[in-house]
Amino acid sequence: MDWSTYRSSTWDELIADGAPRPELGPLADYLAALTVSDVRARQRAAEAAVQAMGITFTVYQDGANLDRAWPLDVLPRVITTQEWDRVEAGLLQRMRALNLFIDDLYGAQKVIADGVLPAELLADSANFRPECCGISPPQGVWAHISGCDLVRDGDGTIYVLEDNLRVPSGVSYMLENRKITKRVFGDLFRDLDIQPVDDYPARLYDLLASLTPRRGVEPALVVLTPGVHNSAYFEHAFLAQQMGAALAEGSDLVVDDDDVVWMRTIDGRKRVDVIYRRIDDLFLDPEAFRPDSMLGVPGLMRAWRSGTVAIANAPGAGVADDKVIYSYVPELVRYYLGEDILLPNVPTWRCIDPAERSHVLAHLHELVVKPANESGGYGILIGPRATPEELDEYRIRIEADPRNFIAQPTLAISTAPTLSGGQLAPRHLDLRPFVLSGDRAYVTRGGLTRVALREGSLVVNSSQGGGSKDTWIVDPTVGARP
Amino acid sequence: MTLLSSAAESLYWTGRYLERAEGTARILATHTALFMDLPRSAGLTWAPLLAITGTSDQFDELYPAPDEDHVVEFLATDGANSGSVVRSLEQARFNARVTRAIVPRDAYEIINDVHRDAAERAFEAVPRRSRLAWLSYVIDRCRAFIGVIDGSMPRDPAWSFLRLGRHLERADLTSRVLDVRAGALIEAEGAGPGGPSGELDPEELQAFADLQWIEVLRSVEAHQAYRRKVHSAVGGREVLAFLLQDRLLPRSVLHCMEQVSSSLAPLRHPDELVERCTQIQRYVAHARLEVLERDGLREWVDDLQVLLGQLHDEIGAAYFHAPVVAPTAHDDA
Repeated sequence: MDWSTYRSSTWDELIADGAPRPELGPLADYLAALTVSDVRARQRAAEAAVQAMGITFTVYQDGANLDRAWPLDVLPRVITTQEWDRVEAGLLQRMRALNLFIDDLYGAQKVIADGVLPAELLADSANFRPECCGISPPQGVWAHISGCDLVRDGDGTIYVLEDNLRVPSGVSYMLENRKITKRVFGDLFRDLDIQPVDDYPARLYDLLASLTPRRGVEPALVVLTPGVHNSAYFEHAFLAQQMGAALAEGSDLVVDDDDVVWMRTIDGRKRVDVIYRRIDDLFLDPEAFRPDSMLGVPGLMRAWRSGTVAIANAPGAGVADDKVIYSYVPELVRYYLGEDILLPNVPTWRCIDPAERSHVLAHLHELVVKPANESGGYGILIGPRATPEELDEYRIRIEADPRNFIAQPTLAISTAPTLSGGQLAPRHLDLRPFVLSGDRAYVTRGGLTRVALREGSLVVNSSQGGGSKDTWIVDPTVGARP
Repeated sequence: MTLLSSAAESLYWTGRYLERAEGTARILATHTALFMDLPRSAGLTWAPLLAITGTSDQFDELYPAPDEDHVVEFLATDGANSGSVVRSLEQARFNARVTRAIVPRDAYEIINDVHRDAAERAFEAVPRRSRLAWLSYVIDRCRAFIGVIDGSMPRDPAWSFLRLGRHLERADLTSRVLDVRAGALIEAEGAGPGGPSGELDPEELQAFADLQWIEVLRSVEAHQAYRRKVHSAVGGREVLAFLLQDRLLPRSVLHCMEQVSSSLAPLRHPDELVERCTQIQRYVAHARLEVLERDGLREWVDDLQVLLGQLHDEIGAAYFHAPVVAPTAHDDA
């Protein structure tokens, strides 16, 4: 197709100067030969496959939980292996440092004693769990599974936008997207060297099994879900199925007086060794946290503390999701590893610092301001798009609680061609790779690309109308020209 | 392979609800076909379908009269009827969703599709021109589910619970069809010429009775098999024997009960469950057909229903709702 009329306002992942990026190798020729009607036909095939395969996500609307078909834009987002190797090294470095950091916070807190992190940050952290102090989980790892959000700026730099160390979701959709694109782009999978992603469930199983407190016995694994009404239930069931683990709700598990966790089975009770929990900390155990939680298992923290069961991610791991702590990650990498950070953070002003705060307040209309402990894009102020009233209101909120806000420059987040109204148009996107940390660390080859489907929009969350793309890590030196 | 009690219960219900959807669709389809064959003067009505599904009272609250369109709508698509085809599929899907980690993916996709399509095309269920196509689609998909299950699922406890639900539901439905349809036929024969269809001559009456016995067989997919086995004309005693006691017929009550027993066999099964199954099998195998073909069929089926209900409750107590905190002999510590 003729790409000469395709214009992105920023860096585009596939197209530059009116033609497919030559650095993509044979794929660039393929994109040049593609027609819009061909893409449309493949999009229809993809949507039919999503329906038939029952790939859904759940939205809460009008008091009911509704299953929606998973939105996939069929044209993939492509990254070269050479670039991906650098991203992977950066993610591994980051997770090494963050796990050392969390372990330190719940242990000796040397990072505070040495003056790297201000003590008051910890005292006010919404996701710091004093209940976890003094605990040493197996291998010293707290955040076993993480999903960092990456974005690319207009100059091509890839930044880490945020860390998700609590219960990051989306990996099942990464795997499903690949199944669909294999169906509808089968020809390309023959001609190109697209790196596989399907080994994730096996890697996740190996990681979880390695945490078992009972050596020499085949570990009993459980995926702990809040239940069928949770927006990520599809993923919980998917991962349990892929790993051959039991998919349990809190009511399926019991902790006895000896702090051992059991599941209710048709053969009576059976001991549980490892819990991959997809429930937030505060709902995990009504004995330890919110007493009104119906989702959790009374006594689970007792059991975890006494080491009879492993929990991934460990309770309290979310402390590093705090966006103020995020801003310290470059310092943490240097402090724990003695290295320079490989994958940069977005430059961040901390409102807790008086000088930085006055800069933020003076430039509010140019900046993106984020609350420290929200996820899913909630509570964010996008300065250039805010009304004067919204700016004033936000100014008051920052001054009232400066510790809980950070500000970043507005990035010119990259785009990729996306079907919209039957035509290919540039749409903004991000990328969530998944990192497994344990005896052997692992990064997915690619990840889940989320794309904003409306023109100019930066909202990629599926709950708010965002879509997704398959992510192809491709070696441009391999493959036949079409 | 560990099977959570809650998952086992969902598998059991998935099996039951899918079988209920298929069975209800089939009695609607066979009754529709019979209706097309019989003249109005034969006095056939739609009320027996309400009796078979045990929904007469609920129907009367919602609809003015048991005419064709209302009964079909109520049994096929009505959201207010928890036993309608669409609601059964919905509940099968809900339960299958909870067991998505266990049910083969292709099988889940079938439930997902048939539930969505049947509900979206609900308007096709009532008009005669589209009804049979709608019903056969549902029946066909339910069979496809069983095909995937049987072709790809390991014979582990999860499979046993799906089968358990399916065969208990089958036994239940076959006995209800016999109760209502065969019971009515026997009573009409007992009344002799000049009974409810007094305008018809005896020859016509016999022809219509034959057609109705055939419907009884078709309602549980047994007509062709019956023809192969019993070469004489269709008669009450033979049909009763076939649908109750034929060990080789997939939907006979005895065959279903044997399947229930063999589903339980590889599970940890308390003695009282085994005893209950044996009791039901004996009850069916030793039924005195020479008496039932003349009188007392309804009371006999009522007692069978009570036994099936007890078995259902005992399965729940043994596997789904057993107390857990107290140590059991089966602890795997």
